[in-house]
Amino acid sequence: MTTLAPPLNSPSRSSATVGLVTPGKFAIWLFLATEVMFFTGLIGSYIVFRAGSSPRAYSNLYPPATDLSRTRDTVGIVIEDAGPDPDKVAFELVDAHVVGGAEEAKRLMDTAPHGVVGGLTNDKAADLVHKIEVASGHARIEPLKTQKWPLPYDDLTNPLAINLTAANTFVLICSSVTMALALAAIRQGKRLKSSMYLLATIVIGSLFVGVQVYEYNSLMFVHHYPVGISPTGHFRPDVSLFASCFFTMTGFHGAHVTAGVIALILIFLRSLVLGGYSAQNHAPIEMVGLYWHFVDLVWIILFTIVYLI
Amino acid sequence: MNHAPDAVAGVDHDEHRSPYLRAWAALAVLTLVEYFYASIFRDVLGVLVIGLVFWAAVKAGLVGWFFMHLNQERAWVYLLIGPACLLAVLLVLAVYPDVAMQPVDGEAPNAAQALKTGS
Repeated sequence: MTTLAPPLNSPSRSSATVGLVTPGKFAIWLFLATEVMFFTGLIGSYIVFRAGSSPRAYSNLYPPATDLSRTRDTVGIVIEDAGPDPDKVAFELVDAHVVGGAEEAKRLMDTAPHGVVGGLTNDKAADLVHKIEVASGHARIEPLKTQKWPLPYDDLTNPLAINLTAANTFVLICSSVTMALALAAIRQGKRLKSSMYLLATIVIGSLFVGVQVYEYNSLMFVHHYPVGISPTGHFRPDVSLFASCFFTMTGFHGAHVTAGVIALILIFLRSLVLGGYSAQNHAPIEMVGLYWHFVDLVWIILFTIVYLI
Repeated sequence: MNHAPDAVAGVDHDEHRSPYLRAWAALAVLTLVEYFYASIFRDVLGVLVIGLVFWAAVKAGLVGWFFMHLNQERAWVYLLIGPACLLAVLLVLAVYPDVAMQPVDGEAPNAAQALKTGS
């Protein structure tokens, strides 16, 4: 069933376009329906992978997916502070033959306060903690703990920055408001105001992408993480199933946001041209807006599932 | 073009803006609630999951209802998007037991191997 639009000079004309079946609007909603399936495929796979993960897939002392059947009686130490002279602490680790060499020992110093050495007996761990204290560092003995999946706020298995991403989630929500206001403005024929709101949406959306790029860079290249997160120290897609899921889901979402920013730039440029959009002709703004809000909605769910649970 | 007098247009624009700003304020508050909820109940998985999924659903609903104008759309939009959402959820629920509810024992393979090798 179709609904006829009111006359063009009707005061209710602009708001009455909502609810009308137009080919463009039908197409964007159909596209969003396919996007629902796409993201549910990702989120559903994540849920299934996570639920089906082995109860001992992740631990605080060993790399992900390590066979822990022979290491059940071992403990580890967590170097919380390398002290004023990290080289001295590193030397103790090399001297005790608990690390592969000087380079690995140095990397451990970089991961403090979460520098983990696993595979120790209780006596050796106590001895090592004592030597580190003598070298002006600080360490504690850590028993082996296993889990199905890295839990939020667990620094020994989960590297994700919740505070930063919570703030970034709010940034994306703000961009949805400016997008909605851009549409509301053009429906009233306020072209300049609409353009300014579109520009604000572009800036805020770009900020979201920028923060995500910063986060990826920190995870993959800058920070050194404990062995329970990655055997190499860097959190990259190939270090664990968790990492692979994280980068796949957030990466695809980031690509969607980037595509949205590009679309926004295009409609913003057109909005600057006289007669680009008007109260009667603003379908592209409405369609890009629907896409943008959908991307925001998906992120709300992704943030909850990937970061907080 | 359809130009209204400034004063009237200003009032009208404010009226158009207010639901979006109210939704935005609600989303800001809910984001904070979600953040602190996750921090407080981090060790109680059941409570954590149920609560966070609820907050996320409310937030997603606000975005859809107000920003995507689902509150003003007609039935055809729901007919279009509804089956996709339903099938997506059913698909996950159908696959979930096959993977997640299998008996998983990390030691079983090693124990079997140990028996086989007699060690």
